Amino acid sequence: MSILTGQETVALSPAARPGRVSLWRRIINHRTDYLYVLPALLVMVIVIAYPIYYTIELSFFKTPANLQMRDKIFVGLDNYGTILSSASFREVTINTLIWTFFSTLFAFLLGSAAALALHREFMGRGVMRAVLLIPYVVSAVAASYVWKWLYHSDFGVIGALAVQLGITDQPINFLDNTTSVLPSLIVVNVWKEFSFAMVMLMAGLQTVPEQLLRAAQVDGASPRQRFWHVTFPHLRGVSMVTVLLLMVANFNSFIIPWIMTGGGPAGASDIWITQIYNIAFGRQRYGVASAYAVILFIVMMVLGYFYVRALTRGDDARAE
Amino acid sequence: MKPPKPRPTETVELNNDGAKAALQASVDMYVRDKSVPVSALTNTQNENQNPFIAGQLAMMIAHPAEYAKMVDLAGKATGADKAVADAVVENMRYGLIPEGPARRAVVFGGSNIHIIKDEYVDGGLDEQAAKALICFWTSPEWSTKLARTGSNPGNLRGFKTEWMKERLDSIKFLDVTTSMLPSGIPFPVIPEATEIMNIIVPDMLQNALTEKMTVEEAADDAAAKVEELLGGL
Amino acid sequence: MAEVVLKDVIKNYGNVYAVNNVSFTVEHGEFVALVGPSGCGKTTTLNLIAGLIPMSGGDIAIGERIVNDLDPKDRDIAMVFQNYALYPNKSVFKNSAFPLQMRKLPGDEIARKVTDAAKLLDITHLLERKPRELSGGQQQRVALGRALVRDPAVFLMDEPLSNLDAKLRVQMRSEIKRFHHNLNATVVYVTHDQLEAVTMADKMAVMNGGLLQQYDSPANVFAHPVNTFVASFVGSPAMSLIPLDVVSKGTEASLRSPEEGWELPLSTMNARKANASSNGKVVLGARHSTLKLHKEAAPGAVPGKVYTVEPTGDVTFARVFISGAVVNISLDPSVAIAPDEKVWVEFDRERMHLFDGETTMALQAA
Ligand SMILES: Nc1ncnc2c1ncn2[C@@H]1O[C@H](COP(=O)(O)OP(=O)(O)OP(=O)(O)O)[C@@H](O)[C@H]1O
Ligand SMILES: [Mg+2]
Repeated sequence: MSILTGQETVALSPAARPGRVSLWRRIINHRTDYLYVLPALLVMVIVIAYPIYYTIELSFFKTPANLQMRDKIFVGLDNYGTILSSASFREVTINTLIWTFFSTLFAFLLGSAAALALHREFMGRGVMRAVLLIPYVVSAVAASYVWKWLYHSDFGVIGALAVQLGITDQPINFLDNTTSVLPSLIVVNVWKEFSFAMVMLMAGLQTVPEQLLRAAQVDGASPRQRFWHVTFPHLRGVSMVTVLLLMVANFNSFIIPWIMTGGGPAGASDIWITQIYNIAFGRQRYGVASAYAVILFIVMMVLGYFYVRALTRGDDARAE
Repeated sequence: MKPPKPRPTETVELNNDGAKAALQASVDMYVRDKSVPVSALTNTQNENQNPFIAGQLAMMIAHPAEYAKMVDLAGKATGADKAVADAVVENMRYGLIPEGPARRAVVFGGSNIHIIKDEYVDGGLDEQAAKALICFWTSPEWSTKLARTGSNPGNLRGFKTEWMKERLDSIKFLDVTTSMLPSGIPFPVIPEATEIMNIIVPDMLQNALTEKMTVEEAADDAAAKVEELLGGL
Repeated sequence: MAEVVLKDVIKNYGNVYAVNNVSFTVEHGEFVALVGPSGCGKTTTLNLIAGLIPMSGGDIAIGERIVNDLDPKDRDIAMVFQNYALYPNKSVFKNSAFPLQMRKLPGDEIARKVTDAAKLLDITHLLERKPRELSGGQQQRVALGRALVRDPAVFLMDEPLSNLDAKLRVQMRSEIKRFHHNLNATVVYVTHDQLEAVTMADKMAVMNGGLLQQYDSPANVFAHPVNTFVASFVGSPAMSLIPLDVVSKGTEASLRSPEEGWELPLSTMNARKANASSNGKVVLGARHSTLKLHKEAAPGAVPGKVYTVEPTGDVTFARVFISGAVVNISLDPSVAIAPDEKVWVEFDRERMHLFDGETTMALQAA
């Protein structure tokens, strides 16, 4: 942004109010820049902007089940009303919040712990790092199926092990149970994405200036104090970004809950996104599903705003 | 779009006494007796195949085609699994679904053919051709051929064809499964059938089996959802 | 009393010897500069004194205590780093207070010490700012302040001025010198800028390739460089070095250009030195100010050809080719010469340096 403001203000339109250049002028001044981004912009418009627009439009309509959208009926905000007043909305929203909060929290904590553990030199560090990265690179679909069988209430490996080790006398019921299903899914999700947090924080750790750590060492800080006073503050930015990205991913995560439970049993693991899919493609209520998607979209945009803020905070600081 | 035609002939029976009794029977089996596996709550029929061929399931509700599937699975098994699988296939039998207080009953599956309205078809709809295709498709001969290994023919006269006789001779247990046909109840032929079968009824079962709702509540809840569905667009 | 003693200190990474058998003693209150080209092991030596990296061999004592196995925090040292190494999220006050907090001093004492140091360094008005809101010079002052509050026995500084612009560097140079003078502190100061070392230090340790070349006062290092490396490293412009053959005539000797054939007779003292050469060759060294330029042949002058002329205002530097080597000569700005001009250069017979042609060590009279 700094390119568009600053000296140009003075140089190009002395008449304008200080600190402001007419939008038109700015566009003209940067016409070649716009030309360069035009192809990418066009593609974005086609594949992103139009679907978003169409989703928002559909959210104001009652739609027939047969995909013939010219038969749709305008109903204003009825779809939103239907969703917000439906009994399941509260339940699904609570599930979504639990899912997002705990997935993000534990993925971040576990990832940080792994990153810190891997940051020091020890024998087999490279191997460990590669092993811990496996969940992240494994296909989510494949992992979901594997976990589904590991968890299986009658023939699952985990249940069998628990019985063999004498921890329980019955295989553990992870997924066919309304109270344990969501935590069980969160475990899989955390397993799947903690390596992402790990990679991010490992990168962050590598940028902690060696000199600062040494200065703290000379200043008499213990390893723990060095972590609190140097490493931890340094990681704040990357932590923010990581947490936000995890949150966005979790709000939007579909593969694991969909494949493992489809939102069941009895809706106990239904989150917004599985609900939207169900409404749209299970029950063919495109209007209601669109309204749901718009609600999700608004939440994501708010998160996105904070993400961009976290990303650009450094720039602003430098521009000061 | 015209307002939906009233469909006075349809009444929702999902929460009548019989339906509730059936639901109660499921709850008794699953919750009280624990005579079915825990995973039956969410298992699909396909997901029962592997435990069955592994000798882990004694009995399951199965399709006429299940036997062929088991033979196929046994052929793919290796090592110690192979012996078990062969034994399962060797000892596999079909039986009829037991008779309830009123009668023996089973819900048919089926398939749908849709013909799209004239106004939606590029270049217009050739109704005669569409009808001809349906006639061909549902003819005794073709419907028998279509369902050769998988299912029974859709056209009752298909049972009288020579191919049906050949099937009965060559496909094991087809005689048993075919003898269930007189107890079959077709699902109401309405567009909403899919949603009722695939979403509302499973939800009702899960609500009751997980004891999230009582049998009474689950049945009423499902009935209400069906009413709402039929009343809507 | 806090002297710093290094004895046979070695640091190697595999077969790279970053510090190779270095021994020297820093007396209490002395300002010692570690100088040498990039990669010669200055920082490594300083880090070894600080205890930031483990030694591979040798002993280090601080204040009569062997500190080989002590943590940095127990060595009674403070360090100033090249990039200041200020904690970016802490205010200037908190930065300066940090070492005291780590030593669990009471709050009011911390505040007093920080304020005193801030006054001394003239950064009182900056105490509430964050490091990124400071200029380079201010940051450097804060870094000094953070070292100062601790009142350590020894200050270690690793190129503390190298990130400053030339003008600020000169200013900070005198401030650090002043501050050393006031505190009577023991300072080990790393720099690759020999001018900084010469102007600030009581003694300088010249290093090259992990080896200590010479450890002496700047004046002695300047006047009596032990080898051609030190000779060419200290002084600006560098001492000119010309490889020549020795022509011995009994106790007399002269130097002959292997390329141009001319001979330069030596004083008796220098003849004795030249005769001590191990291979009959020497490197003749001369500082720019000891050379005289003639436009015509003169007795005792050797021929050369002007390569470049660089007027700097006060003085003009001429670079002259003599026997294939480039020789720096300082001239009065009024002297008018041009590149490619043929000239004659007269050496000061008493102030020339002779180094062994093979070992490059300064020759001693036999
Ligand atoms: N961790 C290390 N592993 C291997 N070699 C190293 C390591 N640290 C330093 N060295 C080597 O030791 C030598 C001395 O390094 P040192 O940092 O002491 O140089 P320096 O004199 O401070 O140079 P500069 O003026 O560029 O800062 C260099 O050759 C360097 O490559
Ligand atoms: Mg260095």
